[in-house]
Amino acid sequence: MPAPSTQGLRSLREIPQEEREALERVAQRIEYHPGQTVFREGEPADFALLLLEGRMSVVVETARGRRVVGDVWPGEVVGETALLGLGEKRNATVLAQLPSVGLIVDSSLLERARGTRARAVAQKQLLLTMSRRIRATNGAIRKAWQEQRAAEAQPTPEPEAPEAPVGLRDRLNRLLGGLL
Amino acid sequence: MNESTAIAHLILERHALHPELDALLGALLEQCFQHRAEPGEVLCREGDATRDLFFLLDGEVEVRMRDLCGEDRPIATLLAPTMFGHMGMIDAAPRSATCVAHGQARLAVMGRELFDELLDDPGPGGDILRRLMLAAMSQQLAKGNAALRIFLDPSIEAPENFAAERLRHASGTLEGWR
Repeated sequence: MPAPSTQGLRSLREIPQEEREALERVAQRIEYHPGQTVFREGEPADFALLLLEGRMSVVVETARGRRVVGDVWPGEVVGETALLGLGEKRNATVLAQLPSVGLIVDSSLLERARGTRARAVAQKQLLLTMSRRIRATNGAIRKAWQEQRAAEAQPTPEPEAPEAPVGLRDRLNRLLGGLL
Repeated sequence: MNESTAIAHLILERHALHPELDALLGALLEQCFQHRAEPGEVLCREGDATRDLFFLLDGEVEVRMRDLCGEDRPIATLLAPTMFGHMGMIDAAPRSATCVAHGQARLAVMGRELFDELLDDPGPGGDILRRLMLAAMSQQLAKGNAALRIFLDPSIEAPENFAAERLRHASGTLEGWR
């Protein structure tokens, strides 16, 4: 079976093969088995991962225990805040769901790859990932707002349940799952 | 230092990028279409296809957005020099807001063709554009998430009727309007 590579990834398909290979040559490859921790919430963020194969889960610790708030699919970058120079810690834990292979993208790789197509590809993937994050968070804000307005317009109170959201803050918390 | 380089210097400083890259960004600004906007001129309209990246060189731009009631309301005023309209250029989403020249304004407008060419260009021109957008979006995420964390913090009491305004602020910050 051929080793996982960037070749089959839709998000990188527009990039000529030799340039995709250039990215693979400069980036360290890393493998994870199912259940293995990729990043742990609260740890310093020092690299991002471009997933080549497999699937990962993004989980956060809440008062009620561990909660899955998203999946990472091949072609996606995860942990990109490490590259933004914000000095932030991991805001979530990432676990391999399936046997997974990724490329480590860190600031030293970007520096070494200056002037190459590999750097441009990595930067572009980061831009797309950040754009998705911003749109998703704003989508959650909009949805929380709509739910709140709909609830306020209802003449009867919502059913009482321990987990039922009661205000804008609760609704947004539920939609974001604590992931910021 | 010519005017484009001086403006580029300020834009780079604003996004915490090395101001010595100003000549590179200044050259990009000069490749753009130079536009003088009249007071009240609509530069882009919410919901329209995204075709241009804007650099506001001089003047002010009012940002308006429809709220959930469908009411068009001002959410921010952009002051020169700054860049706006980059998110839709990256993900090809429609415009998220309407931008109107507030008084006379001068802009450098980068069309889709040049933008796409630079986005894939491994050379210094493409690199500075990608770094500028990465820096801008990092700031959007950092400031927007910080505002949301405060909003979501149960130990910070705030009246519920003030919540919508605080969320609007966080949302505008994430979009890069504040």
